[in-house]
Amino acid sequence: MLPKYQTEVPQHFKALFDQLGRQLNGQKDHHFQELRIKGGKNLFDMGFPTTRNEDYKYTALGRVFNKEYQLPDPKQPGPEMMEELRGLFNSEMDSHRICFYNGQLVSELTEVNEKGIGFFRLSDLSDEDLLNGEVLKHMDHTLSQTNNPFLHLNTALCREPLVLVVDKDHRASKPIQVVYHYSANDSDLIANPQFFVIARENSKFSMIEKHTSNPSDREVAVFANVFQRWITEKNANVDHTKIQELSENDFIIHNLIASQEAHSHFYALTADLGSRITRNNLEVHLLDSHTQTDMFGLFIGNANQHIDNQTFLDHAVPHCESREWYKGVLSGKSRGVFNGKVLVRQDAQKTNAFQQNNTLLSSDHARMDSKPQLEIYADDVKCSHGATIGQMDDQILFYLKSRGLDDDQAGELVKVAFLAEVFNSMDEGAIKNTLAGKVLDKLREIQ
Amino acid sequence: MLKIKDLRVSVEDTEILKGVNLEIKPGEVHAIMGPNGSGKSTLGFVLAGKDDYEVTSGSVEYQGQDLLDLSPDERARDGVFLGFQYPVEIPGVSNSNFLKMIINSIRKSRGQEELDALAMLKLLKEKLASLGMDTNMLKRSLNDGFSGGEKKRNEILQMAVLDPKLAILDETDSGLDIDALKVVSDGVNSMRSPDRSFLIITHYQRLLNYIVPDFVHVLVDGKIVKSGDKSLALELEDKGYDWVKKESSEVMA
Repeated sequence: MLPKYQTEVPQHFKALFDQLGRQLNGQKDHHFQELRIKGGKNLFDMGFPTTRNEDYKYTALGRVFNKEYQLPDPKQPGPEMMEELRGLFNSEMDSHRICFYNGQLVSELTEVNEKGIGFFRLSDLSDEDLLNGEVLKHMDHTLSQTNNPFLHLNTALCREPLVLVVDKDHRASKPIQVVYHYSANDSDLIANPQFFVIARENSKFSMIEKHTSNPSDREVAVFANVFQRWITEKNANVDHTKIQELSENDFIIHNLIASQEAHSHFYALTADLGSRITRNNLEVHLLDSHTQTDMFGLFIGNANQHIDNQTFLDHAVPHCESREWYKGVLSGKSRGVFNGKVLVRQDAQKTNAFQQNNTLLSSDHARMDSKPQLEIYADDVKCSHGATIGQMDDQILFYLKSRGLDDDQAGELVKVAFLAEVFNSMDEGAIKNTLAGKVLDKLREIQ
Repeated sequence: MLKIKDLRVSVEDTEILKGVNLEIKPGEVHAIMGPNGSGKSTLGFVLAGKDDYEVTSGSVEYQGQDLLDLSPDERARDGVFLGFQYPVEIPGVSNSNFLKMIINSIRKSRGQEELDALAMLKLLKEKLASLGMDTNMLKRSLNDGFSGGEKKRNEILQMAVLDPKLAILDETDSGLDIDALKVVSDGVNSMRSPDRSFLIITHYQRLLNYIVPDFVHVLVDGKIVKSGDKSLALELEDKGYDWVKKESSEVMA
């Protein structure tokens, strides 16, 4: 039974859904179309949430829903944009490359050529292909279980889902760099990339994903509604870092659902530095024992930014370990929301779960709403959770200034130090250096 | 070097310093002694520029300029150093990064070139060796989980790399065992020079056996009630603060 939300989906979303249907008409009849149509139907039945819904209490999305968006142009970008997109990759990082422009794959800039790693358009797989059936089955199941309307919205307006598979026992030789770039010029733009990632048994790889958009000297906005579904099979080890740096009038709803089989390790780092409104829905489901889950988050807001992290971790089985730590710095009139739920079910004995959210408010007008939730139904577990919201410590600032550091240097040092645990959770290397550089730039910008 | 004239300071409407006069010439070591609550630490904080304190009257001249006009970081860059009684702990900032940052920031303000990584390491190793400190302490977070002695040694290390003209040491001896006390004192003594002055704030005479002052002042209830040479410290040790308190109240009466 689908939940009902308070707001009806505006008419123009229905128009987009119909428009995409007409565009896809005549293409190879693919089973994803059935899923897409189901997604649309579910979305229009469910509606959109308002702040009267507990999970959206602090995040009003009216200004996101009310715009009349255009679907992205299905054509590949022109030569100028190609150059721009090429420049968005970190060239110092030896990596595989995947490029999305307005949510659609840019094949010219995508290079995944390693035996043991497969990258496909779902539509390129034949109906008889086992992988095709596997992906569709998972998607169908996920969509039938979820009460998140944005997964349905994504499916309803997605032109072509992408699939990445890292084979059994394969250890990737280098990280996978994914660039998502969006560009709204004459009209508001909605992008719905869908990405299905499978880490087969005993495989290992890391991915860094970046979201950027064209500069904000424009009236129009980008709405990126991202959906990723990650399958982590037995003993697989994956490491996912997301850096979001959209321009200041854009919106992003980033939905990631991961499931973990026995002895697997899933590490997710969510770093939000940009956008007008960000909502992250991160869900991890533990299917078998002896897993390790790490959910780290870092957010830096200024001006009117709004950054909402919603996480759900389902400890359904015994002997699993999880660490969740979100840290943020808010200045200007920015707002942050953390709503983290860790569910430890009755069967999940010997669970070891840690959850923490700490926020530093560096202006009098910034605001944070934090709700760490731990629901425990098992009796032999080790769990802790907590949240702090604080301001810059004057004693520390004075100490630093008495050593000759000026206000900006001292403030920056305190903020960097505050975020340390998030950086400490990362492996040394190019991904960590990239993030550290971007965080420092953002901290200097908001002083 | 430093001229304090009739300095009156309040915290939240309570007057702590009630007219302090003190002159320190280049190369001199002055000790301020006094019972708890007499205003010793307040004097140190006011000279370093902490903004919880309100200067209600008087003046402080440092190297010919009005010290009270300068922000804490400007004072530090002009050569004023305060060694804290309770140094703050900052987890997440490595001691070596912090030292590099303050060294280069001070050098830049003095028109000197910033040190490269190699020169920096050499300088830090030299200073550590001279203070009998282990290089391991560079890797640790700033004062995080340091023992009392380690924190004080770290203060002396910071003083050594910042090369101040006026060093104010607030209760640097508190919480130190005899070995640490010796290391800290040796560090200070090795930095004594004709153009550097020290203001040593202490409750006990013990430290002054190791750092021999040129002048000793006794601060009681926000005023310097007695000044003398190092023998005054020994007399205080012998007779206690009640002796000067009594003497000063007799004078005032």
